[in-house]
Amino acid sequence: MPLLELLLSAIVDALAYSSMIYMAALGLVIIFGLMDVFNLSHGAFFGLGAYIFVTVFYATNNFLLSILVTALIGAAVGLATERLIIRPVYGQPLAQLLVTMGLMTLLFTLIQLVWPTGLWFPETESFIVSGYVEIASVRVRVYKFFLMVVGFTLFALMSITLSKTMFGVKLRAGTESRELARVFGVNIDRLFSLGFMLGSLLAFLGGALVAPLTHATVELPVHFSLLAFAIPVVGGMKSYTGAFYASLLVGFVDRFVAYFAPWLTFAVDLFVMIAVLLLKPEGLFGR
Amino acid sequence: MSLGRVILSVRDLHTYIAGFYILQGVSFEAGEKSITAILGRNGVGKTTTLKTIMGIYKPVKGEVRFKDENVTALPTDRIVSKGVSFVPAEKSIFGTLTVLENLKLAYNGPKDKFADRLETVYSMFPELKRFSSNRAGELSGGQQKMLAVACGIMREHELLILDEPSEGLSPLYVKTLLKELKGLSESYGKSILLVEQNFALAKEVIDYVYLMDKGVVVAGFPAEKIPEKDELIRRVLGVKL
Amino acid sequence: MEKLRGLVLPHRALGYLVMAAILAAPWVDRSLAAGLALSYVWASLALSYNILLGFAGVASFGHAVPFGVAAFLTAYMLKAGVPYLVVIPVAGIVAGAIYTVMGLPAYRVRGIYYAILTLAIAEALRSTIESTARTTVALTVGSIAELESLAGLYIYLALFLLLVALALASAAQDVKSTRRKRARFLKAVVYAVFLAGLAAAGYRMLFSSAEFLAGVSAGMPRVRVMRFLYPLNAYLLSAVALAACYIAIKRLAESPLGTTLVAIRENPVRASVLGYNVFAHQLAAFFASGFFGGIAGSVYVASIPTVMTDVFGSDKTFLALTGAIIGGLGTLVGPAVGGIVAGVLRDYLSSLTPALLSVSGLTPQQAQLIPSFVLGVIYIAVVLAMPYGVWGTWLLRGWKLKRKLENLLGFGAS
Repeated sequence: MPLLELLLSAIVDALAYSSMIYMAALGLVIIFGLMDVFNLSHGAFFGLGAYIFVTVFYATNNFLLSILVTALIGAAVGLATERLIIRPVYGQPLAQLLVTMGLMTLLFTLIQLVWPTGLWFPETESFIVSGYVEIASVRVRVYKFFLMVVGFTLFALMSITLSKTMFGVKLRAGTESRELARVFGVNIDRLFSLGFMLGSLLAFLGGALVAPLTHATVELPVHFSLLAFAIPVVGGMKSYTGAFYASLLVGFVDRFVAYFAPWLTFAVDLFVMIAVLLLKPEGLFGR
Repeated sequence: MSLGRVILSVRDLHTYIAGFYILQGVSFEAGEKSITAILGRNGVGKTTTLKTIMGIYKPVKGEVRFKDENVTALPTDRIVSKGVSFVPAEKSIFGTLTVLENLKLAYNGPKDKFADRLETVYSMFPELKRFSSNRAGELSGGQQKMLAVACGIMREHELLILDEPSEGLSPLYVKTLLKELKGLSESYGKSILLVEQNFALAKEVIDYVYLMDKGVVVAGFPAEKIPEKDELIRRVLGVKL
Repeated sequence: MEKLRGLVLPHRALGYLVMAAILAAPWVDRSLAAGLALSYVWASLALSYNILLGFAGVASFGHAVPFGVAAFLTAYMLKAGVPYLVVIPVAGIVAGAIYTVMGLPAYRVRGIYYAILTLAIAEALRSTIESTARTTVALTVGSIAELESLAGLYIYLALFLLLVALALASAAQDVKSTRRKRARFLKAVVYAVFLAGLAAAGYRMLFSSAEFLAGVSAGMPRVRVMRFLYPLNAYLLSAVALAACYIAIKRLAESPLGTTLVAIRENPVRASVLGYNVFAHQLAAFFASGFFGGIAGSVYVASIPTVMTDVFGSDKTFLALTGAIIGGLGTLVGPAVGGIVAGVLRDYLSSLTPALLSVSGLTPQQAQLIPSFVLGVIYIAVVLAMPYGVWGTWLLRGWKLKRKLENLLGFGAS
């Protein structure tokens, strides 16, 4: 493929990928911002979402229904995790690290156990999901544009929620100071649960949405885990806007390397992370 | 004790922080519809007492009763919902939120009364109205303090607790502020508990005073008795009132 | 003479007994050999992990890197014909050096950030290797020359006898030096029982060895010789490696470096103000941790002669971590015991899988993962159950248990 076409294809890919990375990572930032807990199992949530979505799709053949079910499961898993696993170790950073790492490994093992060979997302009749479009003689999958729309919509929704709703105000207040939020009458425990549920739901949803594009492969949970982890590091651990721009950056870097030097993908992703950590440890948009 | 009804009663509080024995048996009472002050030098445990009352710290021993209900070590937001409004000394407002958002968050009453309450607060602190859509972190130190007190008033409460309200404000302003708070408490029947180092300013408005030293309350007496307790005050606080 | 005297110390008795018992184990039940040999590798890995986490206070999720590098290097060198006993320390040094390089950012990048970074490094390494190579990367060593030698058997027996002798002497000393009559009696009984068991095992050992050697000189087929000898030698290597690691790390912990590390962990600012070069000490910890992790990785090849990229897998780090957690951070015996427990647990669960296979409809590949899953659940439960946090509980419990044991055996007040 001539260079211009290749470039166009890569850009579309990168934008779609960035959207999904944003979905995976936004929950991480919300949770860390509120609770100072870095949920290492978040990427595993993403992977689980993909697998559950495809499994449900096999059974129902209904895209929207599968999405809905996955999202609900995601919220439930989030609630259960926050109550049973995160809350008991609240205030102990080492234990939090260890327990979320344990959950991550556990979920990865579970995924390998139940679906040892990955899941293939089949062709559908829907134009949006499986159709193609021609742009400047390049055949682009329509679904990628769909993902882009989802990502940008999410960013818009997030910005509106944060700035215009009381929930958003509470979220920002809780992120700034838990103690003061309590003094202002905010029920922090409930906020934590809601925040974790929202984050988890987004991760599951992201996995579900990416599955038709990438299929639920064996590598998917690990790959997106690391990409998601890179976002708070690059964008700022508690910055909601930072997460969006960091997703774009990481998404573009990842996909462009994948196009031109695929064996270096992981290494370059890692390099970006290290570079930011060493040069601007609080993240590009962090305070 | 000429307190009338008691709205807050604290009995034999013992609190440890990071292994340090801070409160070693604090007891006092705040009367309804009056202004009670706890005076003490730096580091005697005044803020710790307030934070223990608010459930931020958990005491190992002792009891806190609000309106004769045991509220010891309840979650902070529960205590707030029962009618206690706390204005902390240091981190007292959200710098990343706008002035208006701070006030909105503080308000926990019926939605239709919000505008009225906001107007009352703006009339007390006109500068806040001017900066209402600015981020609170951009305000000066004094203005932030004003915002903190404003938030305290926005909140539905029967007891307003202020931790060192004079700090960071000009003395003239503090006098005005305290007089206004006193007026507020009188017209709406609220009670105020304040903790202070700046004794001279507090003296003008308080009805009852407690002296605190080394983690315990050493004395408590009505404001009228201040002149005769001169020596005690000098000993505990190191200064004349 | 003085040096020999130094070996026969009363408090060493238990240690000698345990080591002798470890050596005796495969003779009591041959089927234990392979599983335990691997468990000792995990125990060594857990011990090496503890240097970083327990002593230096650095949480690294990339511990698989020195382990894996050492494993690959070992396989490569063994295939090239380098003697195993040379390969092991070399692999250790290389692993230590690599871990030190990984440790460079740790000074700038703290806590959670560093943990994520190390996770990313380990995974990046694994996936880069896998995607660069055309096929599955697997280095098979075949039969290792040293493990085939008869000399190993002689060394094994000699070591066992030496340990029993030392144990006997130390136990005698210990009993003699205990003042209280009741404690003295109790100790004597316990030691006697222990020693009797060892004697029985020793008898069995010598008898079957003699039988075996007779068979060899009578012309036993090579296959049978190897079947007897090879796992024993592998076991010996693992056990000796574990013991060596334990002793070395214990010396390290008591050395100036060790105590400085603990001081730095407790209060880094104060330590640097006092003039300690925090950075250098941290790097030293990385080197030590990588070195012993590398030893573990090198010995691993004896048990698992085919080295694949899964040695860089996060489950290796995880196993070491689980061992250290279960056993208790900051103590020495803890991670060793924990590592063995984790390994044994995993083996036990693995052995149950044939039964599981027949009950459920799982493939062997799937069933293989169930032990890891169960271990993961146990791990989470253990971490959650720490009332004082992972640190505090084990620091407390470790000492309490030791004191209880000491009091029980009458070590306390003498």
